[in-house]
Amino acid sequence: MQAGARDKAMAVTGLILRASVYITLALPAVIVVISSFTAGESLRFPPEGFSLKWYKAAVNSEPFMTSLWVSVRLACISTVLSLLIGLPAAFALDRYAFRGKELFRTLALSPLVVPMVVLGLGLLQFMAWLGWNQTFWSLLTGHVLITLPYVVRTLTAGFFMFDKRLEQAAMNLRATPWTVLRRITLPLLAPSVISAGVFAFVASFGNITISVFLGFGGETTLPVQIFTYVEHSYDPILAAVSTLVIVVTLTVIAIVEKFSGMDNIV
Amino acid sequence: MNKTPGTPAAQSLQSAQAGADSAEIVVFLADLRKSYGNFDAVKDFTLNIHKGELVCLLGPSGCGKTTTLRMIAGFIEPTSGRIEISGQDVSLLPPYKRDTGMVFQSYALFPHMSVEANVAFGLENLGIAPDKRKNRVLEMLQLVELEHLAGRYPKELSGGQQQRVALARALALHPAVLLLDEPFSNLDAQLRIRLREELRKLIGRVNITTIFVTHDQEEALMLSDRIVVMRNGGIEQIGTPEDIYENPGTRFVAEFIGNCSLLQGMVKDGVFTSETGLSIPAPGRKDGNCLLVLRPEYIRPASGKALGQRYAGLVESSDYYGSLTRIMLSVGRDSFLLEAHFPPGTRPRKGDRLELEIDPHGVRFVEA
Amino acid sequence: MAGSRTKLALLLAPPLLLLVTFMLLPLLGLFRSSFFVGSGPIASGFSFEQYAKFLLDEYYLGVLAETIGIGLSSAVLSVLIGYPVGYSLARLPAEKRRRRLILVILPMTLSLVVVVFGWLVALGRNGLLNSILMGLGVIDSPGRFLFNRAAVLLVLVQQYLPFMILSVMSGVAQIDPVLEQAAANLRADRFTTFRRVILPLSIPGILSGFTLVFILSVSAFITPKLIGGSRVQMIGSLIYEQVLTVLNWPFSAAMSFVLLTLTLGLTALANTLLAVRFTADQGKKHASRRA
Repeated sequence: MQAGARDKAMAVTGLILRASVYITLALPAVIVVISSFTAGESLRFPPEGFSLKWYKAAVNSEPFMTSLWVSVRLACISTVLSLLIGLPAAFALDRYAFRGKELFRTLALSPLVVPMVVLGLGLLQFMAWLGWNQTFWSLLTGHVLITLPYVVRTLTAGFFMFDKRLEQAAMNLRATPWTVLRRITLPLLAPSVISAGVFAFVASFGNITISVFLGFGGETTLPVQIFTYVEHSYDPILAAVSTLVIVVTLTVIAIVEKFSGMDNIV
Repeated sequence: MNKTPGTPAAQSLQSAQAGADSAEIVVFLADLRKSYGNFDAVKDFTLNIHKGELVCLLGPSGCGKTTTLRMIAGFIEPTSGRIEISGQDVSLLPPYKRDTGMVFQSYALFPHMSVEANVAFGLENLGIAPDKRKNRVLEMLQLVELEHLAGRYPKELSGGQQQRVALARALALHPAVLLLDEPFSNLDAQLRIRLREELRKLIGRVNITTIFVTHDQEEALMLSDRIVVMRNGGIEQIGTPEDIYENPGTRFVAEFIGNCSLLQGMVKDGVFTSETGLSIPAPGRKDGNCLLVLRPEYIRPASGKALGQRYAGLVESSDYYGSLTRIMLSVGRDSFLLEAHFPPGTRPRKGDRLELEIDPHGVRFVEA
Repeated sequence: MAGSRTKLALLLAPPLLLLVTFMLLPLLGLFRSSFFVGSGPIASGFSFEQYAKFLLDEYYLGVLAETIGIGLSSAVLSVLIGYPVGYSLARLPAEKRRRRLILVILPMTLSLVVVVFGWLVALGRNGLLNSILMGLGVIDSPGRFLFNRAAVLLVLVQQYLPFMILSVMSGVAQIDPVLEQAAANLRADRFTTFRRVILPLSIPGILSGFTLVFILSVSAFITPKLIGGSRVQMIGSLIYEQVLTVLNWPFSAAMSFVLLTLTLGLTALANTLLAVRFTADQGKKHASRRA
């Protein structure tokens, strides 16, 4: 029957499409990791032989290691700051009714949709005017700004899912506000706070689009270092360094999987 | 309407069987089974449903009634067995090639289509010409008395109206069998009773073969021509409502449908003796261990003229329900449930003594 | 009441301070500098010369057209490819979905440079694609797969596809699966069910994914710079070069606002479409007129 054939064609096409999408999504990272173990002198795929020599080179390279440290430090501090600023924002959005609430929500999420080149250039100019240019502070400000939307989005979703009747039940069972917070609210919100933190961390750690404007010359992050390197030369040390980035990202993401699951953040 | 008239139990049982032989079989389920791993959701399910019949699958949640309905509609593939609709084996057909019309528990009206478009949807898929389609939609909306709401969207309708749209949508295709999945569970108690009556009238008017699923025994008793009581995936008993209520085949049916007193004991030489020594005549019952089932209507407080043997008991609880009072009475270690209306001020209280008598016509036995 | 007001003010102050000082003010400053006269980092005055330079020059208009073209193609391709994936994710049992979601989300969390670098290796002279094609005997000598529009498009779609998938997924998840069964019961095959029931109901998810992918694609500058080289110029890479190489800040500022107008314009258009569609669909006006 004609209809049956159409259904079958749809099913088969869908299957092939989905398989190729998942493969393509994973492809760049897989290629980077595999080619980092090459024993050869140039980047090629498939790689020639197997060695760890490019990892040795990467670990011994001062620019890469310095910028790795900058990136880790920056990601940690901006995650903490972003959570400190994002938590009250999400709490206000969830528990209070106020004028301009939707405007505030849009504003808090807008760093995600303002083109990064525009935001980057704006901040660069502003920082130059403040005299903060090319300092750790200007990088930090930029990173808190771009991680804030992830935090606010994840936390408001978490707050929204949180059943407020549980707090009422606790109060009905003679719990003081402090006990309610400590025994009910915080434990139940912990997974979303962890997810929010992890997403802020990976967004900051991997960011290039804002860092490239704020961190030139002076202190620079690992992604920017990779970017400048790739513009000039192209050798396997890049694959090794990139694999380090992948490993850090995967490790952190594993935390979110363990504590709350990916579904929580979308 | 070629429906069985609702008359005394024995007679209606007979006529239901007679009808079974004469009328055309619309749905035939043969040895249907659905397994999930080692768990049988439905098993050994064999049933004939005749033209114009309204059959209800009744049972507690998890008994397999909804799974059975979904297998008929084609949403669940049976593990084994056969499904025939109008003589055609549809076991392997996808849902859209089966001649069924289903009303879903949540009604499943398309939120982006008007009432009119919802009803027309199936007709369009059948490729019915626009003018004919339009007439049919109007006819269906008139049938459910919603023609004035044709342009509305589902969101703007009340629960009862949504149900009628779902019904019109299903009936528009003139399916061989109408399937209703817990059709009243989303409505409040009062509306449920009203719509139940409306639905019965409507189904009677179009005289369509109907299978419906419910866990509400009152709904099943009131609406059905035949009830299939299900338990743990299997059929426990099939019969007319009177049959199921008056002659429960098993302890499960006796307890699940209506209220009853159950007495454990044994029969010897036509007399039932309960474990605590209470004896009740049981003419014709074979000797052996069994359970005595007594509906509350067959137990009453003793009054002037004796119907049979009297038993003195102690009131354990007495709950007032307005039109009647439900009393748990213990006689020795046996307990009886009776329902009766007492004139104001005469209602027995907990701890009172009360004499009861049993109508011997109401005594039934099931396997222990 | 006064207490709760104070509390609210305390809660809102930190995020507001950050967003106003370090986002709104810089953007305002940028807007102001787009009207500066001159071409260095330090400029002043007021004129429309930067905008005129951009909008009256064939080359820059060509870059703008290229940017819009790539943005639209990227968004359309993402819908076509991402829809089936998002749909199937929404309909998967929770446990399976969780595992597949990791595959979708990981590329989003990975640094953009690393992803682009991976593509450089895949599409380069000695890369995966050349190895495969030469191994199969399709070509004799390494082909050039980088530095063209198709490569840029491929990499953009790969990067932003997860946004589309997630957007479609959350849209479809809100469509009751029972509606599909109802359609099947009303004799609609899978394709008809998709066309008449699922697709119309997933328009909001598709539209928000489309908008997001378009915005991200037209704003791209790392990808066109590394994958497209000098052959594929997009407005983002142009701004980047003008800022950091040429140091022409006023002109970059003007281009930034052209880009911002483009993205805000599409967002507004999408929102309007959604609003119109919704009122039409839910039939609110329609019904109240009848009643």
